[in-house]
Amino acid sequence: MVEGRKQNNVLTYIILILGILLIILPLYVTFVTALKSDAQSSKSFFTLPIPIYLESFKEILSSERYWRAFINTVYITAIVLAGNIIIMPAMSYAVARKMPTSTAYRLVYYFLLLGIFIPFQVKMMPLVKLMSAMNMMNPTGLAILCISSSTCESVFLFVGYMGAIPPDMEEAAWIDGAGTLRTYSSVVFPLLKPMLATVLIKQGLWIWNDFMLPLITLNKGWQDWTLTLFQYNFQTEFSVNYSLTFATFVASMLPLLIFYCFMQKSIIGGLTSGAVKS
Amino acid sequence: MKFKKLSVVMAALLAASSLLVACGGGNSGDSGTTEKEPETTEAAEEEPAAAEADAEDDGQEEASADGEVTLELLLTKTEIVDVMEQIAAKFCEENPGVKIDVTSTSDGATLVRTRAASNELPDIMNTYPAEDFYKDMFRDGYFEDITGADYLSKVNSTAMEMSNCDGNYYAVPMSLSTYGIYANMDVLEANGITETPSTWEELIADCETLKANGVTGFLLPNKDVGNVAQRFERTVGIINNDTYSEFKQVADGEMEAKDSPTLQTWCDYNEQLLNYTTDDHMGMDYDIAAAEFSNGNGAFMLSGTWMLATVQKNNPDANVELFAFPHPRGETTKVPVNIDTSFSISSTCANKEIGLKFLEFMTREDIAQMYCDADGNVSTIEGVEYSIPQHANMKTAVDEGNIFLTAVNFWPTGLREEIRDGCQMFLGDGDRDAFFESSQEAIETIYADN
Amino acid sequence: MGDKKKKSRSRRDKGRDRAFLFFTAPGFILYSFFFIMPVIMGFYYSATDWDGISKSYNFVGFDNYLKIFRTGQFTDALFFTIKYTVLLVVLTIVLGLAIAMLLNRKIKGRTFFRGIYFIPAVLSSLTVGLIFNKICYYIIPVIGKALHIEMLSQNPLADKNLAMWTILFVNLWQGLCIPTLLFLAGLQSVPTDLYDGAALDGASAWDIFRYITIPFILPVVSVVFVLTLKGGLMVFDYIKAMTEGGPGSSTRSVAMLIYKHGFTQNKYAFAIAEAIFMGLVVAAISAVQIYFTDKKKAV
Repeated sequence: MVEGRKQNNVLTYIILILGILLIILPLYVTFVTALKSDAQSSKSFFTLPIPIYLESFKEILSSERYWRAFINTVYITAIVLAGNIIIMPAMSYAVARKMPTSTAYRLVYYFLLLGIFIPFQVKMMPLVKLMSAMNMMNPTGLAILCISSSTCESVFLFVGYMGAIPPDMEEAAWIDGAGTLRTYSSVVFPLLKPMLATVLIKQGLWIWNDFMLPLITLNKGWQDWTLTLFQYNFQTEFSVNYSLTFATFVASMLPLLIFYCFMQKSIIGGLTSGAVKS
Repeated sequence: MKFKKLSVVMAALLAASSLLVACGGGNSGDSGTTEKEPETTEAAEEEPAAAEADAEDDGQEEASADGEVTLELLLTKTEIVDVMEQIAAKFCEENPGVKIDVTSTSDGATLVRTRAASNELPDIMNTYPAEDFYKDMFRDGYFEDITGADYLSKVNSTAMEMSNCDGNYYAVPMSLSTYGIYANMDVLEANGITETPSTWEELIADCETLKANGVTGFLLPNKDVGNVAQRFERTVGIINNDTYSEFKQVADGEMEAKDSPTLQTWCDYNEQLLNYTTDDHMGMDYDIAAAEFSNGNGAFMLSGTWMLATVQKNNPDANVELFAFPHPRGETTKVPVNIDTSFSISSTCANKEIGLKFLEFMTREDIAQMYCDADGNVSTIEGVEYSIPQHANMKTAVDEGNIFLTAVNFWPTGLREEIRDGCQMFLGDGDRDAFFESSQEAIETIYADN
Repeated sequence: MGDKKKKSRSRRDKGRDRAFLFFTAPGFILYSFFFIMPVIMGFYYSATDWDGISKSYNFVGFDNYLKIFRTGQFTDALFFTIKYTVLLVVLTIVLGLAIAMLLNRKIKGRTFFRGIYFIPAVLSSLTVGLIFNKICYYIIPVIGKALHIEMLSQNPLADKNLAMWTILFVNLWQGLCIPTLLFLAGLQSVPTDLYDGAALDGASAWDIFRYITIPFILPVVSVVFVLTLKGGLMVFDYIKAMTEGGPGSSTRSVAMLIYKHGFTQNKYAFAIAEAIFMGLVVAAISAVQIYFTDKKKAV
């Protein structure tokens, strides 16, 4: 039996390492191409960048637009995540607990679910009209829009998760005389944290990398661009320059990669440690 | 615990970024036309000249106290960004207190739509006055009517005619693009061909020579459906200058698509050309094809005058020449032209006086010359010397009037986009029946809609 | 129970209801205003002939809806989208679960593996699409030729049979990460003593998987199902970056078709009608799904 397990482990390693190759190879090519001059790349896309060619990165990193886009992206993402933390768990708590008894809350839940499946194109142009009428075609406006757009998915995830948490603990707190707010903040919210981590990571990645919403709301000038817009507008301008093209890819994903490297344990840990022990 | 750490980092980021956004982006809410106060005071100290500008454009409420005006110049043609930045800088130099922000995008369609929907079109932008899409916008008053402006008299009359919209003018046409076949002369010469072909037979003979020597004759970026559509539209126009009527017959049931001589000729000539292209033509994007062509990995490429800038960016030493696409049935051939670049100012322009001044500036001989030299298209501005040897053939065609306004300006909206899928399929599998069938459906649908 | 006590109870209940209302209101208002309102405006436009840009338009009633099936385009796109979605959902669940179980094994370097497997998730789908677009042209043919695989010796995006699979591969390359992590989280909820007990009883690996793992992660499967379903039915970014729906129309999803009609052909109102129709199709599919999961729960 021990032998069988060992064999299994070897197989596990082989599969996992193959998977890693599949993941790393495109990234390797991206990084290497960014670090080679076009002449070097045209000889072979796979060789290491010797000598290292840094001109493309210098050009991007010295661009004011890149840093502006970086700051805007961080700003929007942070507001959306903060909004998600404040609004979504509380809302989901109310919906999940009232749903079995109240038709109104059940309708609210279905109303929110509806949003998951509405194609973006239905509301695209009306959204532009609405946003501009409200004078919200700016990063702050986009952040508020993103919070609104994330409602359906976040509530869907939280309510599903709440369903798996037995209401015993809150009821105990309730009987002990704790108010709703108190029950929520000291009992329910901590229980929701694992799902909150999932929701934040999911929404954070979505907002950081979203293209369509910034494209339609933040196209008034580079001062408002996010990293995806920067990358898109920049790369089309230099579409024939592989080095610059791939360098913009790298530059737009680098901040998140660095963040991920540092926070990897918290992110993966937050996501995986989280399930309820029944 | 880990979660706490994550939250702390998040909070710190939020605080830091809001501070930064607040500092630098305070103007993002108000169409970005006014500079932020601290910066303007600085600017005022540095540039006393700005005060003079103030006197000129009083009453412009968007202009901030010291008269600093920022106008946005949007380019949906990314290849002219460099030269327009230089021209904008020159304009600012001559007009103290004016700042021009050049932005560019390759997704012009989405951008123009969303900006129009929010009634915040860029102050100055390049438009295509011969296209229906822009004509509709002109009629809706999105752009400033410049009919009768002095500087329009400097524009070539053909171009003016093309940009006429119900008798009014909303754009200054700067250049005409012409379409044909680019030849990489170095490649031709290396294979003993000294002159560009002038008839279809000569073209095919040249391709045969190249093929025998193992050289790619034509680079056809067939993965790029936008390029396929453009090639279709320009070349069927060459085959029959009035395709609108021919397709109308198809739409009205007077003729079937499979009997359309123009569509048949289109199929014939493509079948021939496909013999001389690369194996991977169906996987090739336009930018790749342009790069390959510039670097001598192919002798011919169908394109218009706008490609020269890209060619030179790819390979400054490339020796190329544009010649007219010979009629595949041997009839006389005319060169398709279209208005390539023209500038308009929006009716929401932050400072119309300066906007109009910019349009006038663009037509000034030295500036138009500067633009023309970089752009490579045939200039429409009087007094500009068109001395691009690569396009000498095209200049002759325009001078002799051997041209026609390209089909897309007459076709019902959306035909090009409807028919292009079938074209791409044909280039891939050569199935004529399927092509005629899809063309028939596309033509019927679009004509019925318009 | 004394009368007094009862009264204070109900007052507390009222307070609780008020608090719940207070919890629900902000999200509900934001959602209604910035999400549902534009959708309602969309409905309104779908009954007009608005081209997306003119200041004036006419009412045409249901004309746009009637036109949807005038050509086979919508049906083709819908068929493609459904085929793509089914493949995406099935492969995401199967592969995601398989990878999660591998990453859940007690092996050396587990944290390292988990870290790497999540990397594709942090990239934007547009960037991923553009990177793979270049890889497909420059790199795949080189590999295909070297290995003498006829099929891969040219750009797979140029082949109408391979293009969908290539897009699907790229979508999975990136889209597997989050489901895998969700599964991994779900696997933590399986009590280890159950596994140990089953192992002692001599249960086979398949039985353990079937009777212990599956029931515990079923809720995660349904979450992944819904999220992937959404991703598949709305697929746009990858296709736009890689094939633009081509060659021909062989990879044109409904979202791409809507984009084509609304943004390249100025038939904006018509495009909205198509989008709404698509929304109805999706709503029908998910209603069926909810019906069946509810039934399962009841059993």
